[in-house]
Amino acid sequence: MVAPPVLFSGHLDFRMRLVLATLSGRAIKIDRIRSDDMEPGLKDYEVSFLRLLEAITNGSVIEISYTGTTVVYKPGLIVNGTITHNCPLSRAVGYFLEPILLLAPFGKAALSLTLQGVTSNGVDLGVDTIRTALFPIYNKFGIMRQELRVIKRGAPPLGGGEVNVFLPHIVLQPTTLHAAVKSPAIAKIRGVAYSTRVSPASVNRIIDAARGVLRITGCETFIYSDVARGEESGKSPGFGVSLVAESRSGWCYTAESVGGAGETPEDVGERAARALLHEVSLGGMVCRSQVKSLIILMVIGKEDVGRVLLGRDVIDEGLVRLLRDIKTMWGTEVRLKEQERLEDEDEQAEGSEEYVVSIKGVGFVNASKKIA
Amino acid sequence: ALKDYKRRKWDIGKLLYLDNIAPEEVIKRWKNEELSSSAEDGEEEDIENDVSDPENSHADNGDDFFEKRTNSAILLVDAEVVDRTIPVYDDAYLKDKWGDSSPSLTSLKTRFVTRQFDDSEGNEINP
Repeated sequence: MVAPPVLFSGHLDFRMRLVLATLSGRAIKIDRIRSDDMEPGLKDYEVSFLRLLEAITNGSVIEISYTGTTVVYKPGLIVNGTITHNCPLSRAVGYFLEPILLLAPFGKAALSLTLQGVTSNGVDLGVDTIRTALFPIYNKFGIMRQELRVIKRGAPPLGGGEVNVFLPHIVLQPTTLHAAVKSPAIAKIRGVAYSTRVSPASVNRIIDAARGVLRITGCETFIYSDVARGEESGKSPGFGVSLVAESRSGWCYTAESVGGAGETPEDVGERAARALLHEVSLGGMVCRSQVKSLIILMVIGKEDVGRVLLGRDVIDEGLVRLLRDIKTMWGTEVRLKEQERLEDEDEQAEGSEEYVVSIKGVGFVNASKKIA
Repeated sequence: ALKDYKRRKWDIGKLLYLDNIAPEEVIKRWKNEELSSSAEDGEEEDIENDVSDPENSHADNGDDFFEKRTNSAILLVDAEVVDRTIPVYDDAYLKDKWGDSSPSLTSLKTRFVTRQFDDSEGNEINP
C-alpha cells in the first residue's frame, strides 16, 4: 500500500505538481525548494495554496520541513463543500482558483468557494478571464455550469476583493477531445473593463483605446464596463481590462492587462488589445493562458486518444516541463506532430505553424463518483 | 560532423522526453533550427550566444529586465520563477508588430469574421 512518493525538485510548477498528485492519488515529495535562495523555502502564497488544498480534500497529509525547502504531500479524497479562503495579497485569487478548477469536478460534492484578496494583478489570471476564457475550455470536456460572481473587486496592493465560485458539476471523467482540424475563426471580441476607486471615466478610456487597436480586425467588438463603487471596490485604486476573442465553436483566445504605476487607461487598453491580437496570431485552438489546464484535462480522460491543435509558440518550456511531470506521474507520453497545411492556406500568416498534440488518456476515474 | 549535428532538424516530439536536456534547451534547439534555415550565415554564433544565455538571465534579472529584447514577444524573463499564468509580453515589440500599418495585420485579418459578413449572415446565427 505504501508506495514511495514521487520525487520532484525545485519550486517550479508547484501548483500543477500538487494538482497532478491529487488527481493521480499518489504521494509526492518536492525537495530543494529555493534552497539556494536568500529566502529559502516556500512562499506565503504556496503555503496558502497547500492550506486550500487541505480544505477541499479529506485525509490529505502535508509535511513541510523545518526550513520549508521540502514538502511531502499525500493526497486525500477531493470532497469540496463550502469554503472561504483568504488569499495572501502577493498573488491574485486566480493563482489559487486555476488549479482548484482542475480538481473540483472530480470531487464528491459541489464546491462553493469564496476567495478574498486581489482579483486581478496582471500576473495571475484575472477573475473575468477565468469566467470568460477558462470556463469554456472546461465546457469542451463536458464540465459545465460553473458560476463565478465578483462580489468585490480588489486591486493590488491592498486587495479587499471577494469572488464566489460555484462548481456544482461533478463528473466521472472528462470527455475525450478531438479538436485538431483548423484553428477557429474569430466571430466576436468581448471584454470587461473595470475600475476600483478611480474616476469611472477611466473605464471608458480603456474601452476606447482597446477598440481603437482592435478596429483593424473588422470584427464585432463589445467591451462591457464595470465600475466598482463604494463597498464593492476593495481597498486600492486600480483599473484593467480582460479581452476574449471568441469563435462560434466555443474556442477562445484571451489577453488581459492591469494598470501599473504611472500608466494611463489608454496604455492598458492598447496593451491588452495588442496582446490579444498576438495570441490569436499564434494559432491553435487555445492561447497560452489556457494551455496547461487543457493538457491536464486531456491527460485524465478515458483511455482513448484525444487530439488538439496548438500554435508553435504556445509550446514553451513551461509546457515541456508539464508534459515531463505528467510522464513522471502516469508514464504517459504525448505525441507532437506538425500539422500539414491544406493547399488553400498557403498564404496564411508566416508565424502560425501549428502542431497536433495527441494524448492518450490515463483512464482516470473520479474516486468519489465511482462508488455512487 | 559537429556542424551537422547543430544544424540537424530537431523533432520536438523526440526532444520532449530527453531528460538530459533542460526544457529551456529543448525549446531553444527546436526553434533555433527554424531560425537557422532562414538565416544561413552566422547561425553558429547564434547558437553559442543562446546557449550561454540562461546563465545570464539568471544572474541579473534586475536592470536587464527592461532592455532584453529578442525577436519574439515571448520574453525569456523569469516568468517561470513566479509561476505566472499570463504570458510576459514585450510592449515595444507588440506595438511594432500590431501597429496600424503593420504587414502582420493583413495575414491576421483572415482569422477574423468581419462585421460585414456578420450583417449578411447575422440574422440566421443570432436571431
